[in-house]
Amino acid sequence: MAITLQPYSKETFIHRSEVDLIQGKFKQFIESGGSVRPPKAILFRGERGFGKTWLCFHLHRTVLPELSSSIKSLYMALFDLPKEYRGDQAKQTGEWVIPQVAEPADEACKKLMKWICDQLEISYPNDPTWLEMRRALVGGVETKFTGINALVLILDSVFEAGWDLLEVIEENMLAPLAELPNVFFIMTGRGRPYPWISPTLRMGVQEEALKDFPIEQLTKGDRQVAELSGGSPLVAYALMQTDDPVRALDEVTEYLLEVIPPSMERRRLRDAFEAFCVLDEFREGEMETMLRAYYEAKKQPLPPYPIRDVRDELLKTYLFRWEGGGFRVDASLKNVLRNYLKQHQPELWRHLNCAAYQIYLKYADKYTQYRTEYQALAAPYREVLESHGDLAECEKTLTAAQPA
Amino acid sequence: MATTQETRPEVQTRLFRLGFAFNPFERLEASNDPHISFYLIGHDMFSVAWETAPAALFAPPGGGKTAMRIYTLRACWKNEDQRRKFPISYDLPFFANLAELTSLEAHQTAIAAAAATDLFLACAYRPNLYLSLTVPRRLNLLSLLRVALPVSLEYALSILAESGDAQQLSDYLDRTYRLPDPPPSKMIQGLCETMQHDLEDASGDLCSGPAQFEALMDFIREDLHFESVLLLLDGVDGGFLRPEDLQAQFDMIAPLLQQSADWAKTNLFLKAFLPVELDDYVAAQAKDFYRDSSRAQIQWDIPKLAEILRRRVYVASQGRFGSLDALSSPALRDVETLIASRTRPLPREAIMLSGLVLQSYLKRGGEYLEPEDIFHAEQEYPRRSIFPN
Repeated sequence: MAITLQPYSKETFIHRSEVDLIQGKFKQFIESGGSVRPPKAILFRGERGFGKTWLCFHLHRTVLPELSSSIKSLYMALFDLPKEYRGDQAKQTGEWVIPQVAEPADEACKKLMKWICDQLEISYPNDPTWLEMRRALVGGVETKFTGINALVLILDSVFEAGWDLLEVIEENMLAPLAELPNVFFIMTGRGRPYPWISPTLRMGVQEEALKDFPIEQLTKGDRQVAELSGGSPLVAYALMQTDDPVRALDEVTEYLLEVIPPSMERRRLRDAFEAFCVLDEFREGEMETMLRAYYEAKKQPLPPYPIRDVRDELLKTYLFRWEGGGFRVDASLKNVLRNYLKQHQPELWRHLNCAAYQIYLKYADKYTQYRTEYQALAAPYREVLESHGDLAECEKTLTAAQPA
Repeated sequence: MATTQETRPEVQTRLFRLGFAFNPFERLEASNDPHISFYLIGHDMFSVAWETAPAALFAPPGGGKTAMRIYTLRACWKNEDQRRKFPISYDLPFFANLAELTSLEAHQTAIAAAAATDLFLACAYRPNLYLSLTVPRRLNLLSLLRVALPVSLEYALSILAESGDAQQLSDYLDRTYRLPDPPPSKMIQGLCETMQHDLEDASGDLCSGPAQFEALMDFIREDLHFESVLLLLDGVDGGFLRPEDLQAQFDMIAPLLQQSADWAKTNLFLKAFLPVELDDYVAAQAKDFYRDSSRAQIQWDIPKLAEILRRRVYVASQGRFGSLDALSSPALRDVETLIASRTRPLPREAIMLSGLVLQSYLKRGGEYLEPEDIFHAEQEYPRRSIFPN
């Protein structure tokens, strides 16, 4: 089965509350004659497959144009789009996607600034310096967008872009434009948030976690798909393309992992994701133990890579990040992998749960000052093992492994 | 101390292996930290520093006043093309003999020196600021710089010309003044040549300090077209006065507080970064200023200190992880809170202890950060802290 995504269409877009939020803010802006302003920037954070790009397309192609001709939006994807979207997007106006072949940050930023000028019919000198480019863009935008005329820059996948690019973009484009009263930003991102320097971007960003997607509307009552999808519309959509969603979990995993750059070993990284998917929040020590347990269960040698190299490789996929007090696997991927292992590799699933249980049990035993915390972390694995009747066996191996 | 760590390649390599692009705790002083703009927390305080209104911003020594001043200065230059706000760093001990600061006129003379310094540095970092002016305006500016700069303009210009590096000029005039993206040396050479040529025609007529002050403010607003000027007053507790000489500190700044309302009418806004102990003095003795200005105060507690430590880790690891927990053994949890709870409640102190923890970890060479690293750092801390036991 080859999973293909459906390009955005107004008709198939399932309404979500984020649309109301944006619509409401800009409607108020227009009705007030431009005096009641939306937040300078609204950031929607959510993981892969939770509908951020579709939301951006919907706002750019449908909601904002239908609201008023005085609102001009431009869509910019700072991370490559899935191939199905890319083809469709190329036919649209006012949409820009970061080039697939990486180029120096300065060059990419200047091209983007020129593109914006072209979209807004703002002239700029040939081969402009930074100062000339900034002046042309900022001056042009300031002149064109006054009163109820507003420019909305929709920045998709903003945190997936390299920090070197974001630094140049902030310095030359976002920070100066943010100072203009009638310029607003809608951003989406997953992974590691960029620490903006510009005070307007720092203070003016209103962060919104994406609300739960109404997955039942998409799955049309198929409870199995709804459950397996973990609430991700992308996963649900992919699973609906097959008669046997359980069997399709492997394909969906591969699809989600397509964001891994070709230069990286996808199979080895998938192993790591499978090894870590049973954990919710973890640190390097747990990563090492889980990888060892994973390869032991598969009767394969542990690849000879330091754990910090594995960590850095996973971070580059943006399907893995630090959040709160530990590293996390992206929720969509984690959910699919958990279901995949449960259904297709139950032995491995139990082995990994046992390994996680043993880790936290050992910690609780050894680090008494944190006993309560580690016991709480062990509890979910205990439940899984108990439900499979494997708890006693797992505890026995733990006792056997401990020194007398 | 950690300040020399980054010059040692083996330490750099080890930091890199851990996932750091640089040592997050190397620099204790905001004034020489190139990453300070990324670290800043405390949006409430910044919004007071940023708005176009007179303001007093209170914090304890080592509590982030200078960091906030520098962040504000750099924030003004973030959108330099629009020329909204021109910042003047009025760091008292650098521009005046504090004992002589008893009148508004004395302050105006010192502010003129500060404004001239910042104008010259702004030109070095952004040569177009000067090069885009008409010749009469350029000559006017040079004349003002010649009389108001606290050093010889010709000598400062020779430093810039010989080094071709704006940061060298910062090191000479004001090391806290560092703007991102300094121009290439070729552009600086062009600026210096033009300035040196213009200098032949510029006058250096002596005029009084207050007249220099007025002329410089007019130049910034009318010739350079900045909408407003932010006068960033700092270093009130950094001179010869002892911390307990609070009345003397207040007396020193009283002329500025009294003048701030009139200045605000001309879009010159006083932003006074003051020691927290002065709050009561300002409230009692500068009632008009107290009533008409905005106020903010940084109060440090363990969660806030832990947050600034985490932010440093996050920025230095370029988002790989946001806590030293990532590198810690299971024997440690919430390392930043552990560190913050073991220091005086000031960022400088918490950063220093974190630096010592990291130093112990790097020196030990163990796989993970362990409680012993915190223990060793705590042993060393009293010898490094600016507060005696």
